[in-house]
Amino acid sequence: MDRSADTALPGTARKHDPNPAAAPGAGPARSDRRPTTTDKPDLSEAVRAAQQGDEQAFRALYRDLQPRLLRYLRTMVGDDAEDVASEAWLHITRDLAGFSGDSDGFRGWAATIARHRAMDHQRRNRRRPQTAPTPVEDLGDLAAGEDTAQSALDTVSTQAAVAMIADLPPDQAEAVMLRVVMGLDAESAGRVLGKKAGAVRTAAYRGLRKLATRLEQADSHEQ
Amino acid sequence: MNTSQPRHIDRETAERLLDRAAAGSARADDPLALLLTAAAAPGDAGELSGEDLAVAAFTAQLAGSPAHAPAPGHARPARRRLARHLSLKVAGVAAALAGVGVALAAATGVFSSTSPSPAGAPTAGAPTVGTSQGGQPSPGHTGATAGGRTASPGASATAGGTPAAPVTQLTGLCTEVAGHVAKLEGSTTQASGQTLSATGLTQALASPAVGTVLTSPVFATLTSAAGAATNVPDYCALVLGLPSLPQPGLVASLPRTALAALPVSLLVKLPASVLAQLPASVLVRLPAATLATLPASVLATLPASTLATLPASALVGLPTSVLAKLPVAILATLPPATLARLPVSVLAKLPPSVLATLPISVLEKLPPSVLAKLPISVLAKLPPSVLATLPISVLEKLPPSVLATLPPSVLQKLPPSVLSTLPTSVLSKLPPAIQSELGL
Repeated sequence: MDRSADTALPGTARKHDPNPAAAPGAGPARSDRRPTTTDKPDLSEAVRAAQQGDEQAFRALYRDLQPRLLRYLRTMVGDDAEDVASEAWLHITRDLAGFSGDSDGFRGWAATIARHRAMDHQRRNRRRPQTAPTPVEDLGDLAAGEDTAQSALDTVSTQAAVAMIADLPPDQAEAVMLRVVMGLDAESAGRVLGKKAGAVRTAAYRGLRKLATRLEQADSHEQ
Repeated sequence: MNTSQPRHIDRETAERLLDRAAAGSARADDPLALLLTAAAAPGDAGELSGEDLAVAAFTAQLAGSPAHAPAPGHARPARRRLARHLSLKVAGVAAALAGVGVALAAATGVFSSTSPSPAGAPTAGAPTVGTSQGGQPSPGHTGATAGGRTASPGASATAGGTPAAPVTQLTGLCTEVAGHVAKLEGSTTQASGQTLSATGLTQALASPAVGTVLTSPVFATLTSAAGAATNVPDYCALVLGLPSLPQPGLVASLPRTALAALPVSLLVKLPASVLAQLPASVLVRLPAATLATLPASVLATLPASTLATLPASALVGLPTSVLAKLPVAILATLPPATLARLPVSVLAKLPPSVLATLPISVLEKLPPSVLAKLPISVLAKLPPSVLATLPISVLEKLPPSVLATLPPSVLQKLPPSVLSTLPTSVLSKLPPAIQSELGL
């Protein structure tokens, strides 16, 4: 197993902390931060409580993060995502006490750990993920008409959506997943990937264009 | 037939789509937005089926059991087995997630009700705390407990359903342990610790029967919080606030994670030597008065924002590198002897009134731009070699007696009005041209 990836983690944790000297959560609000939504709950409190051993808080973190990590990992390691996510959680529990930062920082930190585990996994297996390409017909629902739009929202399976994103070139898939599913902004996603924010924006933009094209193809295929 | 016209997505639109999908507020008539929103949909039970495994890892980590958190590579066979086991019980896990309350009720149903009433004072109890009833060292024991909890269906249901183990719940568990011990020993008829007095609790917790009582899975949370069954008497004495137990030395032997989980009200009662072992993330919660008792080597690990709340007397022993990070307003309160250790770059930020208190040997090292702000009375004490570096505008304010010590090469830059105040013996060393300018 790759030791260097492990030893890099504590440093990563600090890197995500915008203001290490201040008390957690007491830092000045960044004006460019997107508003927190119900879909992206603020985990700062849970992180702090879990660091102090609160099991319920840890469960809250798990329930928020695990689905995000699993889907992100699916774009990197395909069907091995669950195994890699489990490894990531072993590392998260081990290093949680040393993490400092806010809710977004925590997601970024966890994503970094998961990514390192996925890269280890890829090195071990020496092969690209074997994700079965999503048949275009299965995506018909995505290109829904006006009356069926709402029902499409209900019926589009998360699995199909993730599979379609995973089908993008790896850098685009990762950028889209980090932005949308992990809920990171371009700067934080860039830190996870070791890239500049601009490079993340470009990769995500290209990914979205490709997705839009494929959706249109799926749509005409259906007609 | 639909609204999804082929369209050009520009970069701005892309960013907006990504933001909205992440926030779950995508437009419902855009297939691409729908796709992204679906990818970011809340997790379902299937995705969360590993929760209890993750929690077991978390608990094992808390219990300070490195043996139970092996390198992931080694953990894989066990986890595979556990994962398979859990996947058979996905329905059960989902039910546990939905009905934590039910599971909690089941777990606590054993316990008697609330309102502590130290009425009865049963006696009994046996000697010595910390006998080797557990027999096993903490890591091995905890590992076995945590592993057993996830691997065996019965115990897993209990552990998975029992939410958090906040100290309040652990306090209740401690009382229950004492109650069961007292009942085993026949000193009371009911297995409730609520009726025990402080003395009764102390005696019950000191009994070797504690080990027997703790074998019940009901107390797994408590055992894991204390780190080992043998730690439970001391840990319980601590959280119950019992006077006679534990000895300070015994507190120190409790796992740090158990101590770290204590509320501040109990933490402040621990001796400084024990607190010193706790991580900074716990220490920052302590009041300044308690922190002030800790050794400087421990304080040095705390963030500057916490240090800033401490009295100057607690800060003076800190290493220079730590002091240098404190805000200037705090530094200004430190005694000159402490400030004197700070690097020049930090000193340069201090207000002149504070700098003026520093010894000349320290001031000498400051850059001229900082020195120039010092009061004349302080500057007058600096050696000529340092004064010579100051700008003329500052020098000309110095008294003639001080100026007279400066070398002619510096003096000759002063305006005639200032030079004329100097004694002739000094002026005679200036170049002839300047002397004649002064009319000498």
